[in-house]
Amino acid sequence: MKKMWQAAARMGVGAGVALVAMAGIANARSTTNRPASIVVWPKIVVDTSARWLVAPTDTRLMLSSTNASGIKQAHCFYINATGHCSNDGAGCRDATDCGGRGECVPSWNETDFDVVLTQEQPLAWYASDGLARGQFPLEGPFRCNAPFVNLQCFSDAQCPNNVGCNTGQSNLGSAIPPVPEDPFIGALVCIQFTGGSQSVPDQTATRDKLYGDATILTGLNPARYNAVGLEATGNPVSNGQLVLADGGNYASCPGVLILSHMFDGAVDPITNNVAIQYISDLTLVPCSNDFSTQTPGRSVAQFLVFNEFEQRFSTSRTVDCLFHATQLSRIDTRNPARSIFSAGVAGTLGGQTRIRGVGGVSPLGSGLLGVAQANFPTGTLSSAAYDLHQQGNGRSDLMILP
Amino acid sequence: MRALYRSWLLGIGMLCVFAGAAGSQAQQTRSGTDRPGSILMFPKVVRTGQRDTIVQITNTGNSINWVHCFYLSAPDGSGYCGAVDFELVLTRQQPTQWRVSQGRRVDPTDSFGSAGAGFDPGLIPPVPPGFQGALVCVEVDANGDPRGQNRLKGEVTIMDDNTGDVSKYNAFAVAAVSQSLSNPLALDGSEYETCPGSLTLNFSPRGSLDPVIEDLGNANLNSFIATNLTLLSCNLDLAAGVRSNGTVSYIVYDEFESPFSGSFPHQCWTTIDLGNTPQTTGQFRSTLLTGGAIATIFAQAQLTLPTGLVGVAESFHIDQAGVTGSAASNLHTGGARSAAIRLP
Repeated sequence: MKKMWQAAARMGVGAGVALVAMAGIANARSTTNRPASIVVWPKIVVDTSARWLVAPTDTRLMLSSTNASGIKQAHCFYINATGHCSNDGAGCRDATDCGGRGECVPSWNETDFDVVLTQEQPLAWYASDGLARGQFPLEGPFRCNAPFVNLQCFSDAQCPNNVGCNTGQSNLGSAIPPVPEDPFIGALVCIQFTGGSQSVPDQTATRDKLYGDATILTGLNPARYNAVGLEATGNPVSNGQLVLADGGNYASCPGVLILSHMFDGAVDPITNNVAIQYISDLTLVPCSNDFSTQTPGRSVAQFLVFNEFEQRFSTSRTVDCLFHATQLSRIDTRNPARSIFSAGVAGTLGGQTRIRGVGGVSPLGSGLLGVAQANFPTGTLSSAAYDLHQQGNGRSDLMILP
Repeated sequence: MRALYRSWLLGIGMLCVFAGAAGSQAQQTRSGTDRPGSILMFPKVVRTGQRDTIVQITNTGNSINWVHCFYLSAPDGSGYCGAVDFELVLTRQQPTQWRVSQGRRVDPTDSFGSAGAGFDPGLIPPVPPGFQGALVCVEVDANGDPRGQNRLKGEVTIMDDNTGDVSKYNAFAVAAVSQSLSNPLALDGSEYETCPGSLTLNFSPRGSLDPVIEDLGNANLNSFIATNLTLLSCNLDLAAGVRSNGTVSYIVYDEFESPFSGSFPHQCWTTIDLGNTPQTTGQFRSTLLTGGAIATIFAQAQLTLPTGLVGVAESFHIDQAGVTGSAASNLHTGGARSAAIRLP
């Protein structure tokens, strides 16, 4: 008996040492390079009638599985952050979209859907259209099992003698709705589930198999960025509450987001053409969301701005569901020429802005994710989207599933 | 005694199993394009025709940072990896930027708001017309020896001065994991983090119609999507400019999960138009084109090189009038490979 206890103790020591080693490695962080279990697209824009932008705009979303064998399911949430003008109810991003005749009243709601991805499958859709049944690549018809392999089927019931329908891997069960309105601005969050009849948030050995990107196409101008991924830790999720923190279910959100940019209004030094001025826009979304009660994450973004003289400025704004600054120089003032993001104020072309989320509504956290877009308003709009850099780990965030 | 021996063996066995599991998790490099590091790799820097490149580098730390940078030139595809180097000094949190066609002078009298305004980081030479290549920057100390502060981040904007079309990507940053660094820089997980073992690219096969341009733009079934891929080896000899030979293997999956595979030679730095070169025709082309293999308008490609590589993709969307818009994107990474960078 004593020997049994000793043996168990030794085994425990071995396992404990190994687990400690693993814990160090499992200290994951968010990423825009690697596959992950939660994938967030912070910015989706649809404006097919060019109401907001200079040309019709749509967003192409790509979601891929890197799983080498077997299907993976993604449970996704469109977050609609389109506001509506108080005067005519038209969709708006801010008051400038209401033509100066009304306020932009913010609103928030989510629409969720499932996507089933087969092994190594890339899947893409346009946000204005979605993908309906019949538009997915692998939906059948399939073949019955032997000896009725010449019969087509979609389900077991369609095959004689209970031989079953050989559906293999397919996209059956998937349906992607179009975004709920046009024009639209919002975000998309997809969470990897295990698939199958008892599908749960995936914390198995084959977790972290999803990645994505988005291309915002305005007229002929594409702006592309990688979706932000949050890796799973392997800790099972309970009560539909996804804890994004060290020791939680998923990697924590970044402590600081870093945006490198040209200051707004900087004139291109080569052409010296005042018509070519750098302008950047910024979109931030909270890491936390309560999809169960439709309560959006809320935090305060603190901006710390450095110019090339190492001089520092700061400001802050509330991020309520989604924050979109059509130009950086409108973050701190309604007069862009007087903004700390203006080249006329900063005095240099290049700048660095460090963004930290603070506050937050309990029990949700205050972490932020984001994407920037550099715009060069020449004859036609030209722009490029890019991912923000990140530093450190944020505090705990929470996503609550319905 | 035998039972005692067995129990220890079992314990050690469990240790190995768990450590093995941990190791397999660690097989993924932590280097990337979304956090600061000590080595910055900009795979694509061009000054060709009307296209020019704006480089932005930022010190995200609160102490001074010395940086040794190298322009890698591969003008004729010969694989020669000649380097031109220069040094930067960045004060705390300092961002800096320059156009590669102009470089940046040291001129304390730069006027307020001009391109050279700000603390001059050092003399940055311009690149010659026709330049195609990469930029690699390494954190060093005041003596020029490697130093791992992990405070550098960078971005590139490629701009067409004629049309104003721009595309932008983040530099690939490799973090130092040790304070004891030496030349050559070992990207092996003990001095610096490793390089990616594979790259994954989402793309539309060459010749695909762009649904948005077709629906909302000037197309009439004449829109066209093309993708350019630029790769840079992690194994670099910046001292001698010696090229590193290798073969990039790829496998492409379309939305039907159908795989196509192949390979092409790679020497230090490679830029190719997917589906339009002898090595990559077919597997990267839409079935709209003769010899095209991919039947869907979206696909995924996985690329591997035994010594590790980094890369960037640039997609071009063209309407029937030939007007072009471009977008650059960082590639997703997988796995880990050891590599070495030799400094002069």
